Amino acid sequence: MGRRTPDPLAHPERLTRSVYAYVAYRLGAGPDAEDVTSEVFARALRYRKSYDGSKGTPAAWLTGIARRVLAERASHDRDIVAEVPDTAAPGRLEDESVSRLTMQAAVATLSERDRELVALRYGADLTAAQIGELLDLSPNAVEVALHRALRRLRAELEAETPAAAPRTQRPPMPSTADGL
Amino acid sequence: MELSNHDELGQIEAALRSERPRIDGDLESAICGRVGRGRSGGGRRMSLAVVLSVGTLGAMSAFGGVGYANFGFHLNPLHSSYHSPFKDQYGKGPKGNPGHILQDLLYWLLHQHH
Repeated sequence: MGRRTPDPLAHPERLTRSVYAYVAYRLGAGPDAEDVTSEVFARALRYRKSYDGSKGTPAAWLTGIARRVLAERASHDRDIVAEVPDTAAPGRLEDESVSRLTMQAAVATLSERDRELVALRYGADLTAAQIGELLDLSPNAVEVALHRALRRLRAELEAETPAAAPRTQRPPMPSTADGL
Repeated sequence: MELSNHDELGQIEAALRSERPRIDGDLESAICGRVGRGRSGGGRRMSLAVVLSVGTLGAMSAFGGVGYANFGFHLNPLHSSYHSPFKDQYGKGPKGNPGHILQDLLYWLLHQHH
C-alpha cells in the first residue's frame, strides 16, 4: 500500500489569500485577479487527486497552476492590460488601504521579471528555494534578483509623493509563465 | 510612503507582506465553500454507492434473488400434488431452471383438459 497523498486543499483559507495576493501583484487587484484566482481553484479541484506532495507544497503547487492560468490568459488576449487601482486621495480611504494601493502601484511599475519575483516571494509567500524550482534558478540567484527588485521598488516608492495626482498604471500582461 | 535610512529594504519587505492585496471576503468564502463541497462530495458519492449497493443486495435478498423462481415454484399450489414430469424423470432437478417450470406448467394445462 502506498502512502496516502495529503489533500493539498485541506486548508483553503490561507491558500486563497496567498494565491490572490500573488495574482494581484502580477495583474493588479480587482476583478481580473479574482477571476484568475477562481480559475486556479477550479483547476485545483479537478487536479487535487493528482497532487504529488513530494514535488512541492500545496502553495507552490497552486502558484504553478496560477502561473499557467496567467500565461494562458496572456496568450488568449494580449490586449488585456491590468488596471492598477487609482491612488486614493487621503481621507477617502483608511490609511492602511492607501498604503496598500500605493505599494501595489509601485509594484506595477516594476519590470515583468521583478514583478514576478516580488509576487512569488511576498504574494504567494514562497521561499527562495521554491521560487528557484518554479523559475529554474538557484536559490542564491533568486535572492540576488529579489534584492535588486527591492532596490528598484524602494526607488519607486521614494519617488512617489503623497500629493501626486491619481494615475492608472497599465503594466503589460505577462507573456508566458516562464517569461522571465 | 516614508522610509527611514535604516534597513529600508527590510521595511519594504515587511510592507510587501503586510500590505499585500487582500482577497474579497465573499470570494474567499465562495472558494472555500466550493473546496469544502468538493472534499465532502467524494465522501457523499462513496456513501451513496454503498447505500445503493446494500439496497440492491437487500432487495434481491428480499425477493429471493436467483433462487426466487424455484422457491416460488415449490410454494405454488399448482405443484402441491408433487407430480411433475420433470421430477418424475430427473428427480429434484436444477433450481430455477426455466425449462423445468415451463415443462411442468404445460403438463398441468394438459392435465386440466383431461
